[in-house]
Amino acid sequence: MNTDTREKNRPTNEVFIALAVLTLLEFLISYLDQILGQNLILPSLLGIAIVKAGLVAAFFMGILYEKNRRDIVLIVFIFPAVIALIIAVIPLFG
Amino acid sequence: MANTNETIVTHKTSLWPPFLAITAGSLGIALTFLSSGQFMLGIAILFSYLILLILFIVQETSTQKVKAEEERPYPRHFFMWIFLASEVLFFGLLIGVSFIIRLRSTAWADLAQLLIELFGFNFQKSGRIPPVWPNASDVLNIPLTAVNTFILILSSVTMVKAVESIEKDYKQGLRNFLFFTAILGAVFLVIQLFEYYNLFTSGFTPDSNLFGATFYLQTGFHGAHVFLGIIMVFFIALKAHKGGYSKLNYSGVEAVGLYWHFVDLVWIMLFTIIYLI
Repeated sequence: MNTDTREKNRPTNEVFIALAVLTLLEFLISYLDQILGQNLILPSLLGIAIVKAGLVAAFFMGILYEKNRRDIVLIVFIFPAVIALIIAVIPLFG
Repeated sequence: MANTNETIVTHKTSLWPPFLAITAGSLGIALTFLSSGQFMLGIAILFSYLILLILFIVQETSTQKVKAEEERPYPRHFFMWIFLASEVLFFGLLIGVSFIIRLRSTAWADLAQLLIELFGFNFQKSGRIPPVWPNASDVLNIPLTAVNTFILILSSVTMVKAVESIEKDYKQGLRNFLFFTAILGAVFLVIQLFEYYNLFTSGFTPDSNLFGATFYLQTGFHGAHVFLGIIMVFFIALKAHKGGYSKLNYSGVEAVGLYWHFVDLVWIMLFTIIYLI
C-alpha cells in the first residue's frame, strides 16, 4: 500500500500573496515601456509570467509534492510546449 | 501527514481523461469542418464531444467505492496529467502561432530583425504587407483585466482550500470553498463578457485586424475552458452536498482542482502576452 505522503501544510496564503504582488508588478512595469524600452519590458514581463505560472504549478497543482515531479514537468509542460513551439516556428524557415 | 495507523486512499484510476483528450483532439477536426463550410459534420463532432464530457462528469460524480491505492510507477491522476499535456499543446499552439503572427507585424520589427539574423527566420515568406498591430493598451481595458486576473488567482486559492478541507474531512469547508470557486469563476466570465461587449460596441471585433482575431481566439478558448471548469466544480459541489467525498475518497475534487489550476496558469500567460506586452 502506498500512503499519502503529500505535504499537508502548503504555503497557500504566501503563494497567493506572491502571485498578487507579481501581478501588480507586471501591471506597473507594462506602463514603463517608454522608460525601459521594448527589449527590457518583453523579457521582464515574460519572466514574471513564467515565475507566476511556476508557482501555480508547483504549489496549487501540487507538483512540488509529487514523487514523479520531474517526469510531470517534462511530459506535461516542457515536451508539449516545445512541440507547439516547433510547429509554430516551422513556417518561418525557408 | 497521514496517520500511520490509517491509510488514506485518494487515487482512483480513470480512463476518461485520456479519452477526453483524444476527443478534444477531434475538436480541431470539427473546427476545420466548420471553417470549411461543412457545418453538419462539424456540429456532429462538437455534439459528440459534449456528450462525452457529460458522461465524464457523471462518472466522476457517481458514488463508487474506491479501490485501495497500490504501489505504482506513475503519478497520481496520471491520465488527468496526460489530458493536461494535450491542453498544453493546444494552448501552446494558439499562443505560439499568435506570437509568430505578431512577429510578422509592425509591432516587433526590432525583435523580428534579431530573429532573422540569429535563426534565418523568414517573416515575409508570404510576401504580404506586415499586418498592423495596435498597442494593446489603446484597445483593451488592462486595469479591469488585471482585476479579473486577480479574481481567477483567488479562485485557485479557494480550490486549494477546498482540497485541504476534505483532506481534513471538513465537509462543510469543502462545500463552501467549491461554492466560492464557482462564484469567482462566474465573476471572471461575466467580466470577460462585459469586456467583449465594450470592445464590440467600440468596433473592435475579430474581423478588425489580426490582433482582434488572435485576441478573441485565445481569450475565447480560455473562457470556454473556464466555463467547462465551472460546470465541473458545480457537479463535484453537488456530489459534496450529498456527502460523496471524505478524507478517504476525494480524487474527483483533486482532478477537477488540477484542471482549474491549469486554466488559471494559462490565463496568467495569456494576460501577460496579450494585454501587457
